[in-house]
Amino acid sequence: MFAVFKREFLSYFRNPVGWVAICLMSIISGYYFTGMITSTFAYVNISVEISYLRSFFIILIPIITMRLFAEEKKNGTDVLLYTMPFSMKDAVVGKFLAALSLQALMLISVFSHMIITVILSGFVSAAAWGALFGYMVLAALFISIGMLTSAMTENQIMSAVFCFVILLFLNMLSSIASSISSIVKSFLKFTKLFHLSDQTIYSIGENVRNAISWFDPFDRTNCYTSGVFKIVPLIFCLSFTLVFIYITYRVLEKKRWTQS
Amino acid sequence: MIEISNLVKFYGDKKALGGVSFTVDQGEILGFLGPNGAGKSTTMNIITGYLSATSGKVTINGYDILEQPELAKKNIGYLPEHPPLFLDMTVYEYLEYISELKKVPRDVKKKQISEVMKMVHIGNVSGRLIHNLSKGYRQRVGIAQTLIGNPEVIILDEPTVGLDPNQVVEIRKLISQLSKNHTIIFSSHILSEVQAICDRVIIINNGKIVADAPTIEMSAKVEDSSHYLLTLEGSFNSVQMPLRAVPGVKAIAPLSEKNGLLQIDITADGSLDVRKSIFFALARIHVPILEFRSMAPSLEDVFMNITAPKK
Repeated sequence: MFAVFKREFLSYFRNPVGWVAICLMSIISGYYFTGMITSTFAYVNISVEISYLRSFFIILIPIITMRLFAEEKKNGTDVLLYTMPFSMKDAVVGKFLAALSLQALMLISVFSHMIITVILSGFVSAAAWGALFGYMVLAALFISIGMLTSAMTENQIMSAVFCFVILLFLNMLSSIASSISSIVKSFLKFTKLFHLSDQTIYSIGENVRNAISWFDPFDRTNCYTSGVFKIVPLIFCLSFTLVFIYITYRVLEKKRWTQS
Repeated sequence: MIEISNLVKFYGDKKALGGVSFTVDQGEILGFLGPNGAGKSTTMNIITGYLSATSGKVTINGYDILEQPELAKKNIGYLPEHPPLFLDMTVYEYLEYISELKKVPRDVKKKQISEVMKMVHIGNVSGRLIHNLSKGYRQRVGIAQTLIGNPEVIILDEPTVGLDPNQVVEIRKLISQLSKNHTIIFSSHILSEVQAICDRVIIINNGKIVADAPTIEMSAKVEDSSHYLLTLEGSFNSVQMPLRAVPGVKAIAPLSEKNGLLQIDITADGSLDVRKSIFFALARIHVPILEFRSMAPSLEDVFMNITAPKK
């Protein structure tokens, strides 16, 4: 596992991907931080900066995960993963950790902002640590999704596009939830299907919205950004991460039986 | 060493292998021969665990490739048709990565890598990016990769395809060297190659084994007819009739005729020795024989004989 991790992590820096990702992150976070420092209030809140960075997952995660398996398949080096004396599980976990480590390394600019904040004000609020924690938990979930899309195709661009679409969908989940709930409400109201009271229709609509929002990882991990630690969002993200890692493993194992 | 029994593989509806069984003993060099698409690569991929067979069993050193994959794979070094190289790594980094994947202990890793590099003569490029290497060197790096971890079995899938003649000779030499302390399975569709290197040949066609014999016996398989090459001073018209009259001669074909020199190919019944009669038949009409060669059947003949669709 460590061998795969090491190769994968270092390979981010053998080609531009790793550097570009770190660069992009530094520019985005630097821009936001500069904006905070130079604003009239000069009020710096690192946790807000981090939660702002979360909205760039949608671009950055596909970039760092698209090559994980797709490239190996295309170059024929995946033979090594199948024929070497170790389990495919090790390879999957190794690659996942490599991408996660790059994601952590990308936060280096945020750390420098924290140090500046400490120098200027003497402390960093607990909310900033909470936000960092929430950021990484969310990153792990999205990386596992990106890794799965990469394992399903041998075209990196396809993998990136799939991953992008899924993350976009998750990003919009709260608005999707409210529009579906209002569609359901108006449908029930105008068709008078079950002759329900307005009260019931309203509560049905809300339940639909809550059911869809249940899957919203952004919404769930918001509590960390405000410095509140809850165990449920952590379990939610970790369990889905594990599920996607496991599906990736199964997808790769399945290839033994189906590929030509 | 390697036992393969009744491998069947379907790709969707298409049957790629239809019950392939054979065993390979320790120290043997087995040539795996067949036209493109015959099932050579599929068989090798199944032996190495890259693919799973639809049914059948592969054991390596007593370990089943599906049930105890890690133990079985430890005994195999595999070079697929396209060498699995990371172009963005240097040769040394790549071999280091492979030894980590194969779990070579840290203390012997360095020594083993330098031994392997010496064996396949890539020491001089160890610090170069694989991306910048020529095809011959890349192939050698691919072979080096199979040797890491010192596996007993080495499986090479068409290792000489796409190389220039000098490189082909080098790779063959290398394979012969390796055969001293490894069991080798080696696939090719070039027959002379297999003839030159292997102890035993398996010919596969349409997913079935059509012949399995030592290389020497394989040649004897088509000896129901024998070929002779003659160079004579004379014309084809003048020798045609007397030669056809010789008992045992089945066919005569002119190969070339210029400057009064005639070259002909005679096909004769394998059970009769027609050489003396040919000599006297030509002596009687005063045609001097300048060259008389008995042609042993090549693997090409065997191959054509066996794999050609039956009429």
